[in-house]
Amino acid sequence: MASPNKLLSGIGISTIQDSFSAGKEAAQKAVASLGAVKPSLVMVFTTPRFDLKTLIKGIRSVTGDALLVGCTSSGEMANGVYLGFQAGVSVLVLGGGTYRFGAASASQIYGDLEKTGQELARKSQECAGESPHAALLLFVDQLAGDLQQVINGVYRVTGPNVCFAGGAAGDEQKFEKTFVFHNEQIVEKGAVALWIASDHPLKTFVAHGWKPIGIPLLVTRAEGTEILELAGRPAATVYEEQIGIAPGELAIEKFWGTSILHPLGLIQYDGSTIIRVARSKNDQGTLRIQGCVPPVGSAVQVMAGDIDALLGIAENVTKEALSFNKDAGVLLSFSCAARATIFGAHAAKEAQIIQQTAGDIPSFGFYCCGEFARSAGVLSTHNATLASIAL
Amino acid sequence: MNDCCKISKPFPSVNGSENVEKLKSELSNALKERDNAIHTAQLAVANTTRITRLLAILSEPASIKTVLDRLLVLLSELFFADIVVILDPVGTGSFIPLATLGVPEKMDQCCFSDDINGHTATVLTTNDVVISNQAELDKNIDPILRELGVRTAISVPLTSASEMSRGVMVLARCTQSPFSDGDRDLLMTMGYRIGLSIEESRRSALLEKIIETGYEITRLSTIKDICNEIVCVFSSIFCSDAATIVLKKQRTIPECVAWYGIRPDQLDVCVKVTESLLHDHLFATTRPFCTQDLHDTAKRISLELPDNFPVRALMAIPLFRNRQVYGLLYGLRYSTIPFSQESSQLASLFAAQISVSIENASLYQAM
Repeated sequence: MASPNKLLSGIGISTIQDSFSAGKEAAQKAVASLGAVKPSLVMVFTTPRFDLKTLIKGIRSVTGDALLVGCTSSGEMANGVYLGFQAGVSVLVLGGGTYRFGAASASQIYGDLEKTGQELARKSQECAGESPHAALLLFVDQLAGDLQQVINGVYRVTGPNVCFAGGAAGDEQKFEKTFVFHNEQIVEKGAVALWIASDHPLKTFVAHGWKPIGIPLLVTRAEGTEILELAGRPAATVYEEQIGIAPGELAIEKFWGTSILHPLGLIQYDGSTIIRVARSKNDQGTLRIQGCVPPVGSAVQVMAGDIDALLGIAENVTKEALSFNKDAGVLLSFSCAARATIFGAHAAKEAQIIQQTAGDIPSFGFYCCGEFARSAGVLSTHNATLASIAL
Repeated sequence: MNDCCKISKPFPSVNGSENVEKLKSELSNALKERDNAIHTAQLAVANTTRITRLLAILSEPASIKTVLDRLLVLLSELFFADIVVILDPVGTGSFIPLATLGVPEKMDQCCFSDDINGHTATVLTTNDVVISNQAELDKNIDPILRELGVRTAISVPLTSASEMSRGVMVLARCTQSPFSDGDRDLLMTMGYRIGLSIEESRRSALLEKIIETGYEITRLSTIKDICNEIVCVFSSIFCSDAATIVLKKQRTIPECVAWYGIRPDQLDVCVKVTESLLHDHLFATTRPFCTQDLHDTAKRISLELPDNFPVRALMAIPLFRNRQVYGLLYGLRYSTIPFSQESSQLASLFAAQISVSIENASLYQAM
């Protein structure tokens, strides 16, 4: 028999073309699972193809004024179903349980990311109230720059005893514009934070499945979101050498198709790696990194992975997350849009593995362009990685 | 046959399952060797990358606040530290951190313990690293770190140019992951470099404030106004709990003409201290006089101090007129956190400015 304090969750998806109807349908399906329990939180991940204001109106026509957070994404996962590009909207509602939620959002955050992180953490915590334990879910515009700065800001407020999860809002890899949602607001160039006040510890688990293939290389020049030099030479040239391609042979327009299969691994203190994906290269031979550039002096390695290895970690991450919170009412997963691209025709498989491993516990998440999860220290921004938290 | 050929193995024939297995085994060994080689290469670059990144940040032309913020993020990343704290008691006069990362905002203005047995005090006294690998059982770990659930911690001296500890850098982890000897050595080196950077930056900031104050003081026309302004500013610039000016008038006992942060009934003691210091010719040269514990010094120079006189660390700066000491400007701390050599040097510079202002005011009043 379920504990009277157990968190209840309901998930609904809709692929209807009309924005209001899609939102309403997904929300109705989700709310139906809660029975008489009123939703205390609504989470929305959606393709950007909808009229987003109308979509959210449709959702709130069902969920009322329950706290709502979410973002546009590059694919969604809901109860083992994968919604690909342009497919639809997924809605999660939570009710009952002992969690208390608080949210805060900010728009036009470019250029002031650390301060944004601090303010979001402060305001969302204030809304949720004090608690012995907590987690913070964060959804940030993928185009905002070095997203680790947002995390740095959050961490200055929270300290090490609040776990982070979430990811960068996407636009199905067009890299043009993304939106985050906070109640009825559709926020451009922004971020939204959800503070989850808990009476028990919460933890995010993370893995990527990539293996190094090249030698360690020092980043000798980097600016903004670009690596200019690796080991004292033009970054793209060195990168291409490492993956066995003659310098210049990899055309700019074909770069993403190759670099997605060979991300950079930022070498960590213990020899592990945090993944950074080079999104593009330019005529000058610099590499543009998605989300968080390895600073000058960092050591990186070119990585490789196959579909089996990358999918292989999904079961373990899910198991770890659920074994940490045995009374979980929902599993939230944040995978990378690059992973879905690599999986190609097998893209639905990750959501299936996660749900199979989770058993009766509903699973929900989206494909991001930068995943957030803190294990040790402050560095918590990842690419081409899967992060999960059980609530 | 050349050497290269001698060491190469003949390629095995693959006409049989045994050979296939052998080939697989050799391939597996080769892959393992490759992985080992990559791991060795990773370790080889690990320290290089850590030092390079530190130096890159310390050489950035940014304010000390910005540099420290970046530095803490870097140290957290490079050493998997959930908490990083920089204390600069010699510079700030307190155990309130100069900068923190991982200490929740609500706690980051909390004062770290000055307990004589605590790791912070030990590092300051011994100028050596203290590692705590079972922090939850360690009575000497700082209470703030204990409250944050720290499991392992390392406290490293921040060394000044005079090679004394001016502060402490604490890195802590909330997992049972001990700091290694390699971490210790690297952090010692970093502590020296970081200490120098903090010292340089404080010196620049102090100089700026001194110059600014110099302009302000020239606008005042009476000795009383000048001295009142000086004690407030001096206390703020040099992070002392109190400040006083005692002037020696011709053939009379010295008089405390201005004070800040000290009770008026305690001023007599300041006058007594002045008489004693001047009598002992401690100011025969232009050097300032500093002590970490006035009560200890008093015993040595046979000066009787009331037990409840709160001042412990003291910095006395001579004020000169015609190469004669005519007064003392005091920075006073109610703790035994000493004033740094750099502070006393800069305070002397400040005192020279003050002497000129007092002299000018004196001439103006005589007119």
